[in-house]
Amino acid sequence: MNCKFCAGEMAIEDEKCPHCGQENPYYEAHRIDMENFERKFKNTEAMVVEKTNKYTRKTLIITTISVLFALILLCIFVLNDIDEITYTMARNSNLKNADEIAKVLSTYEESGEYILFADYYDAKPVKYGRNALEEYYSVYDMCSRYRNIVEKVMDLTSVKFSESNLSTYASGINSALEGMYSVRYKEIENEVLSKRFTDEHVATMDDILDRTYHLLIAYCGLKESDIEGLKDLTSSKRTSIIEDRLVEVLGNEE
Amino acid sequence: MKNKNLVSKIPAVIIGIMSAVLLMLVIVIVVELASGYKQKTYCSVADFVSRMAHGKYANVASDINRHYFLDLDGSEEMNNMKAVSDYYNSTLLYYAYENEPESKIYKDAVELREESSKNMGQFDYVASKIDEEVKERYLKSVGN
Repeated sequence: MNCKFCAGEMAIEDEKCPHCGQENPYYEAHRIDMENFERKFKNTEAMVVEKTNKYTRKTLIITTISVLFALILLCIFVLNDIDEITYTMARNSNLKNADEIAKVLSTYEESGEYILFADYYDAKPVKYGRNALEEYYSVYDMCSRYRNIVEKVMDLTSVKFSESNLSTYASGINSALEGMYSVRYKEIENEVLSKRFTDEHVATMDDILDRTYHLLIAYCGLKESDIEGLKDLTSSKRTSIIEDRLVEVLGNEE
Repeated sequence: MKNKNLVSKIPAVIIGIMSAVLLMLVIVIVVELASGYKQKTYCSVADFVSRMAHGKYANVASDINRHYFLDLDGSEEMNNMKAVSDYYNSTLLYYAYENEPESKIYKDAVELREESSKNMGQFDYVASKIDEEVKERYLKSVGN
């Protein structure tokens, strides 16, 4: 702009004209404008900063809560399946030691410790990844059912045995027997499962059946003649014979 | 003003609680993973001792092995109860094969009965009771 007194060049921010020294009539108004402008600018700036801070803080809180919530949910899911996870970990570890486990199983099988065989197999979670121990599975199946029968005989010999539900008891024995027959006489015909039926394993299975029969004769009152045809009977007929014999034995006690 | 302060603290309290819950869950998971796989049926030695005290020998004998394999802490009581289980099992076979004294099963049963009866420790009084119970049932069954 130019000075209105000497027409010399001057800036609006100059309080006086640098050429003639006359006062700049626009200076005061400009100073006030600038101060207003600066104050408004600072207010706006403070507002923007405050709003941004608020927004950032809010975002941070929401994000933190969301992440924590997601992590808690994840932990709950993991806890819910913790047995499955630990089982899988244990199984993988056992599968690495499959040779050692197989050795122990063989020892129990050879020494006729069938209950220990079943218990050991159960304690080592290899059942569902059993490829490595495939050949022992049918023997395990037999051992496990033999264990059921031994447990039932234990109940029967115990003074605390309840005689109130003999048909259920007989049905339990029959169910274990039926499972044994299925393994020994049906599964054996399945070529896919031939690995499970080596001569040694078949001899073990026969021994298990023999022991089972001895237990049934010794403690459930079955007779040699009952045993002979037992495997060819229907399930209900077999249960009925076992129940009848138990009734006879328990009847003798009264 | 006071209310405003309280309101502003709510998110921090929520985050604090959630962090505590998360920490707790993580600790539980770590402990579970570290303790490894255990069957649901797992119970303590004390539980077995209590069952023995109530005369539930058959119950303990039928249950002990699976716990024995899971809890190989070598505790004396566990070993004693394992002997009770062995005694029960061998006694069942002992009488079941009584008429076949030359069979391997009978001989093994005799051996295991003797061996396990020596290892029952504080539960040695159980041997005669098991023997009595099994023999009684056997005699009634074969005498039928």
